[in-house]
Amino acid sequence: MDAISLKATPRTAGKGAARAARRNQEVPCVLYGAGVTDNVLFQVPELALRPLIYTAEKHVAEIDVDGKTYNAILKTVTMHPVTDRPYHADFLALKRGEKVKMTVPLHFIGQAPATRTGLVLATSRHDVEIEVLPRHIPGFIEVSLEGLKGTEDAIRVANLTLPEGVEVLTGSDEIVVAVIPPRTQADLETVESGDQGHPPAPETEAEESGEEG
Amino acid sequence: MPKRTKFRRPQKGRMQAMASRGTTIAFGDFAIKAQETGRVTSRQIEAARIAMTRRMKRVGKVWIRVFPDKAITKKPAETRMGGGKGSPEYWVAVCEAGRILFEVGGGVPQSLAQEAMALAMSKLPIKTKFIVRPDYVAPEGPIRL
Repeated sequence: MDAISLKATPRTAGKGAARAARRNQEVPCVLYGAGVTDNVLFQVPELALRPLIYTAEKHVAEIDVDGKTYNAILKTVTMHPVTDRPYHADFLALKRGEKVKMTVPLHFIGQAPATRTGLVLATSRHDVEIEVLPRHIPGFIEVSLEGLKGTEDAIRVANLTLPEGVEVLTGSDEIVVAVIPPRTQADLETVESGDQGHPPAPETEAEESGEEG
Repeated sequence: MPKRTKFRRPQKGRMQAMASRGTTIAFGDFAIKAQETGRVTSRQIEAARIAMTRRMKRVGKVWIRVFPDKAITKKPAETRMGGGKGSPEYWVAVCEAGRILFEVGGGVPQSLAQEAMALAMSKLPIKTKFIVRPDYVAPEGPIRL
């Protein structure tokens, strides 16, 4: 896993400072976690944050705030609902020897034999929650699809091959990827004849209790 | 539309400028996101779903993230004012800007999802855009269609 360096500028708290940062194409951020007593407020250029957001790998960020360097992971990023630009980012500071809870993406490796026979893969999870020491943080967890041969075959969280020092917190029974049958001709015909009529007025609770006139 | 509601004729209400929930992809790899606030009728949702599923044929899975739970009433034509509120005519989902309307996943290649969703977007009355999950990785190997 590669570390990504971020050159950050300290900022003051409050929406005025945050909005000013966004006007300058920067993203207001906060850092907290192990070894950090007071939250560190800073802003980073939006472009510099992109490799941490638009990626299928987990990265450690080396954040340089006013000459002091912190090792952290991107915990959450809030995106603007309409423009999908990063609005705010939370970083979780790492401390040597102290375990950290985080989500790690899953990478699906190979091609499932089931797909060669026309079956469909239904992916239920794209990431899992893990607890790990900072030095063992994986970029991603590989999931081999080679074992998926027929319908009702599935890979569960318990079946994942975990890297050294990684403990999974997600429920072991949860399905990661399963094989499902494709749509049949009958299903496709049902799709064509979807209900297009006017819906009837439903029963109401008020009518039952005589409230509505 | 809902099976049972509290009242038959809901009030008009006012729509919010932006959605605060349901703005990120939760199930699939690709999605249609509303770019303006408006009402989408149950018929438009169904037409969009059919257009998408017809293009994708046997692959992939479609999730509908909005539900038409608001009845819109209408008075009959050539009726004088008064005499109470009209009867429910159709059902709508109030979709705020930023709301995810549909998701597609289950191994559909991006090009096919984009084509299918473009057909669905043309059935909708509001401005929408196609988005991809930020950590999306294209699956390995050839894809059977």
